[in-house]
Amino acid sequence: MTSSPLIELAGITHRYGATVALDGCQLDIRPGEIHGLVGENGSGKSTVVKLLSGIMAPTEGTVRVDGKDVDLRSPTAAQAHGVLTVFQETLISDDCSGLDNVFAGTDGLFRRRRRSKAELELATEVVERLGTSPSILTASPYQLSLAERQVLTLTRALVRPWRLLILDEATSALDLATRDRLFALLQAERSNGRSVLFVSHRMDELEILIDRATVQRSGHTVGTVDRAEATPSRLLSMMDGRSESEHAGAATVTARRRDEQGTAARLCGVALSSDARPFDLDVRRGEILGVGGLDGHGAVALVEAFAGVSLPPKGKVEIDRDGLWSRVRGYRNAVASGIAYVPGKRQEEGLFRTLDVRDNLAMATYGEHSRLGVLRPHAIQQAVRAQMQRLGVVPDDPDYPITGLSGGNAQKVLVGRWLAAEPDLLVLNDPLRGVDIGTKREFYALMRELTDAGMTVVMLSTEIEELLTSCDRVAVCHDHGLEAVLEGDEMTYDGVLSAMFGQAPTLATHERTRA
Amino acid sequence: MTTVDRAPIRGGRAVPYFVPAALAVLVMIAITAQKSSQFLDGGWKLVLVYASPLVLLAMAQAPVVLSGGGGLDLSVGPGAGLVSVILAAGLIAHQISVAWIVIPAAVLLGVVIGAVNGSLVALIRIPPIIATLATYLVFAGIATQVLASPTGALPVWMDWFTDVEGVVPNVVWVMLLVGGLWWLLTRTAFWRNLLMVGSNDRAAYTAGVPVTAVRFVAYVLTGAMTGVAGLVLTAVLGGADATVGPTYTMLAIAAVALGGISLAGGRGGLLGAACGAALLFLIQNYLTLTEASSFVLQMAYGLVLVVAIVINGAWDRKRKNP
Repeated sequence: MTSSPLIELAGITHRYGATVALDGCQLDIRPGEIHGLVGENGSGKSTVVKLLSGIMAPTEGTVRVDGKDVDLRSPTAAQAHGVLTVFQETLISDDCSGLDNVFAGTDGLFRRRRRSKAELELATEVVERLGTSPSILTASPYQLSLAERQVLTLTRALVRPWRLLILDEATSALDLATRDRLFALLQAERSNGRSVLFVSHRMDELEILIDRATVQRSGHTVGTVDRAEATPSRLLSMMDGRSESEHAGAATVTARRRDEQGTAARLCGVALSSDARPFDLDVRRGEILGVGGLDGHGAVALVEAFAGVSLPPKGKVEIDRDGLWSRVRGYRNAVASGIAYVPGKRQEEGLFRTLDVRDNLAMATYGEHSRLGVLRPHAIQQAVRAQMQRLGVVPDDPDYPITGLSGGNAQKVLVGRWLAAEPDLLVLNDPLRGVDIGTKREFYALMRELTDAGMTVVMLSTEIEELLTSCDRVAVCHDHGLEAVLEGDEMTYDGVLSAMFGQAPTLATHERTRA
Repeated sequence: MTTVDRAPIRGGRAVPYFVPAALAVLVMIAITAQKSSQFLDGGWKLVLVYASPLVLLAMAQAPVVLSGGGGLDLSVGPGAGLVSVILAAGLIAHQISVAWIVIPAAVLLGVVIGAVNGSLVALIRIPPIIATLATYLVFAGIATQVLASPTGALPVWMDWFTDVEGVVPNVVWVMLLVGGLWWLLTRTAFWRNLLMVGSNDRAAYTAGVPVTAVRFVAYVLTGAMTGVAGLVLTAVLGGADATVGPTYTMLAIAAVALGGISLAGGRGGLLGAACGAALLFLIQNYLTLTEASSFVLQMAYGLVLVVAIVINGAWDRKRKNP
């Protein structure tokens, strides 16, 4: 296969403000191939998809179709070159019929393009080939299941004269039977010189489908491998940037002890989405339990379940209250039970941007610093000063506006707010995203200090390295289920990454109620 | 397989969106007829003439609300007022008063107003509520500047709009003409595009629908109908008054909500808006008949609106989770 590429990304760099999302990306897709695109969260995959779909234009670099430079400035322009994209979210307009959804955007602004008989037959044929009843074309989309809605968006792409179909995690909304029919259809279309860019977190899907795969890591293109080389372990090692042999020997840093002190909190028969597999999970008193998983695979739902922020659709969350199990029934109830939650996006969900450091810190403990409902400024000032010294907030000034602090210091304030409430269980949602390494170290030390004093910590992190260095055990979510709970020797970079991709190592400690 | 195109939608939207408002209008007509014997005996014609500017402005409000993305035009009231002032003080006062100039001028002025709003919202992407609040103030200001005190003296042909001698008052023909042109528009692809954009603009954009153009045209259509409303307003007032226009904005938006049009976009049409406006005007008319104070009137508007929006929202939820 030395045919010239159908589409080629050459030296693409894309920046969002100061953030470099893609740095010199290279990708070529040949006619008639199914090309996998893989990488961890934040590796630049979705940026590649957006550039090819015409949703954004690259900051630098060229896109070529059939060897000619093209400007994919809008989805319409991309479609004119035969590039069609189906996204993970089912982009359906509920107020239009299925057929209008399928043919959306093929009309002019006013001019109604006549839908030929052949087109309508093609739409019906595509829907049938995907194993779905053609009645979805006439039904109101409100009545359709998630999979049927995604069949509509797939049909929207497949009835147009496509040359490259981009599937951006698009299979996650499909049931298995439909997915397999889609794969068969794609493989059949390959012989017509049509290509597919397949973006997926699922190793099993990649393995059965792809001809070649390109691996992205932190905005860089690591390389492209042929089918024979594209084994899950090879792809994973390319994603995390270690050699395969290095994988075996990767060791963890933290020394761990304890666990004889019992269970602080537990999930019983919890399912993170209504059709996911339920599982049990115990948190040991005084441990730091890490939570990992790819975006949208349930890790956030898991920590939010512990914090009572959003109750899981199935199962119960319980916390140990002086030897009795007390069920967590909601956020206020969780706070009353000694659970504190530090949300993820600190700018949007955590900090009060118009207030100063003092109020941001004291917010959760106003109740303790008031008499008959009237706040005692002096008591607050003292408590805030003590807390700031303990956390090492810089600058050491309670009157400072919160927006003037660095990310790390703002995060200290946010955590400090809840530490002041002296919780038994501290739940952290990716607390150290975008924080410098020095602050991270201070933070790890603080967490150790707290857990030594008997507090229990559940911490979600999107950085595998952080899970390995700061946690005692790591729970990994995949597909809204608990894929593995790793501890001791199992806690390797490779182990966590594999579990994220649904390839749990066999030695992993599974805590599942049923298969 | 061409039949697929026209096959009935499976189950679902059994009750058209405007039916509750239309039923409420019928109920209000019955109540009014009970109270006033003259109402069915020709009184309704005058009521309809006085209601016509509000009905037209409610219809004008519909396209931008349908276009979604918080689509709203607060400036319809002052916009109609400005058109009215320019017609009276700019054209008619300068002896340019023939119908074939004044009528197209009204529509054209409306189109310009709509294009200004459309540029701010669709091209510059200012949130509609802010953009049209700004133009609300600007249009009201210009109108007062142009015409500090009310003026009269209209050409004779404009009496046609307020004529109630026929089987139906002549304003009905204006409404039917606007409605008819709109109906023709719903036969074009624009209607599909508008619903698509209004109901899910991301889906529309990625499918290749020109979202910006669709929203811009929605504002221009709203402007054109605002122009027609300005013309009718001039005739109904028997002149122009810069202070009258702005009072219509809130009622027009209330009428749209009453008419079953989803304020989130994507569902509804002009008929609902017209029914909503008729309902508001009938309530006002009834309360005037019973000699209720104007405070009661305001409260009644508010109450009806809250009830309508609650029903509207509940209906949306039911539709989405059958």
